[in-house]
Amino acid sequence: MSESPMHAHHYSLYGLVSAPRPTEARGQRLRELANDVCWERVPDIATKQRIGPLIYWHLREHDIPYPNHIRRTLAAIFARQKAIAAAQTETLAEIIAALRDAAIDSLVLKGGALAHILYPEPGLRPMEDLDILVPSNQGEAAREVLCDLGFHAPAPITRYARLQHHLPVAQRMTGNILVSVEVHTTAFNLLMAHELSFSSLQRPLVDYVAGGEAMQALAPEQMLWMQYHGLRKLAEPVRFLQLADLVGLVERYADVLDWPQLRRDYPDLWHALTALHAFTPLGGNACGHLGLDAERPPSMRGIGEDYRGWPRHGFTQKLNPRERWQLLAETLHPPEWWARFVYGIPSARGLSGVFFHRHPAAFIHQGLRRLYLGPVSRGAFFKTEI
Amino acid sequence: MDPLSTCFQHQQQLEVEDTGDELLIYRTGDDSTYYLNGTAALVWRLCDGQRRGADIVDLLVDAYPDESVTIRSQVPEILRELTERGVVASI
Repeated sequence: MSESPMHAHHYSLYGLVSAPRPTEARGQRLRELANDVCWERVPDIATKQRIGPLIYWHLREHDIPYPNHIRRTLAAIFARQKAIAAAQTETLAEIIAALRDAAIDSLVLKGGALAHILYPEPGLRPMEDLDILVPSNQGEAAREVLCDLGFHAPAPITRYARLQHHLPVAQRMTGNILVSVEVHTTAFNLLMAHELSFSSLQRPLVDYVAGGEAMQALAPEQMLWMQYHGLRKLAEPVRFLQLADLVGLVERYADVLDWPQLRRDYPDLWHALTALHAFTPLGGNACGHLGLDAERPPSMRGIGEDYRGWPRHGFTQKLNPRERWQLLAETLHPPEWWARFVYGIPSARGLSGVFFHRHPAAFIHQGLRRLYLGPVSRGAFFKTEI
Repeated sequence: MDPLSTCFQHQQQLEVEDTGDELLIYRTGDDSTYYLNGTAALVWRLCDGQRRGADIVDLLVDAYPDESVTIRSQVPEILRELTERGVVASI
């Protein structure tokens, strides 16, 4: 609530670096705005948005001049992330090999796949944990494999844990780094209203190698849908790193995706890509498939602004009456860009339907989730730590 | 320890990032970061487990003869500090 809106130039900087790979067009725009950026705020915002390594890397790739003390800070973030990524990669390779030896099929979800498939080096794509999907009847067997590898991998005992789409977080030290792993039996939780498990995988899967080990990820369409659907949560921030994943998938698989099929199967995602293009200019090839003008991103209000209403900020906090009204206003009237991106609205004309129908429905959904699963404990989320 | 007669090698579990002006070394063991200036970075890079401190001095003096006095005084000091910081180890 106390965070003031970012300066307009920041949106441009963060949008231009929220992509796994550089393009000449984005580099040219970065050069044009570098002198106008308020660099002092960049490290804090980059850390919150998990794009510190990406900012450092893009600025280096495009040889953009900026203050040395900021470069030092961003370089330190990148170096630290490289160390974490090395430990995560080593661990992931070990787990995939052990699952294969135990005759358990596995597939890597989210960051553990994206970091290796989309990004020039995995240290550019921070992740809290490794997500591995196994067949729904082999969750317990996979947990035993993790225990054999030295993980603390608790069984799901509580009602909350049993209702989750993954086993409780398993953890182990790899070198000096604590690595967290979630073994999934389905990709989404019960109330995200989308079934994605081993039995509903689109094929062919994407093959890749990490840490010297061959592994597989979701097919591009499902990977794209999973990354998009996973960030449509009222309670959790839309981070620029997640937008970078979408940009990377769209650009990496522009010639592979079945675009008409994607539009039919995932219309919200299709329209959300227009909002994505307003934040990060997409490459010409992807724009061609999406019917977007590569040179002229669509205009909309609040580009890059996240939702700031309930439940991101609770009414139970100590708020004065003015702050309560502000929170209520932000709850009922989210930024246009956010609404169009998260709800997949093709144009501003569709926003009234969002504000009076889909957005309130999302509150009910959020309330049901809390009632059904029980309150979410912030302390329950483990992060990879050193 | 006499740095000139000792061989040095890089410590394990380091991440290195060349920022252009300096070399950043991140040590995972204690989550610490060091920034090496141009001279210290050069000395660090020459610590390959084979060269003694004296060999490093000779290499640098050959490359920068006008700076020989400074090199002879600074390199042992840099090697001591790199060892204290845990980014190189004497062998």
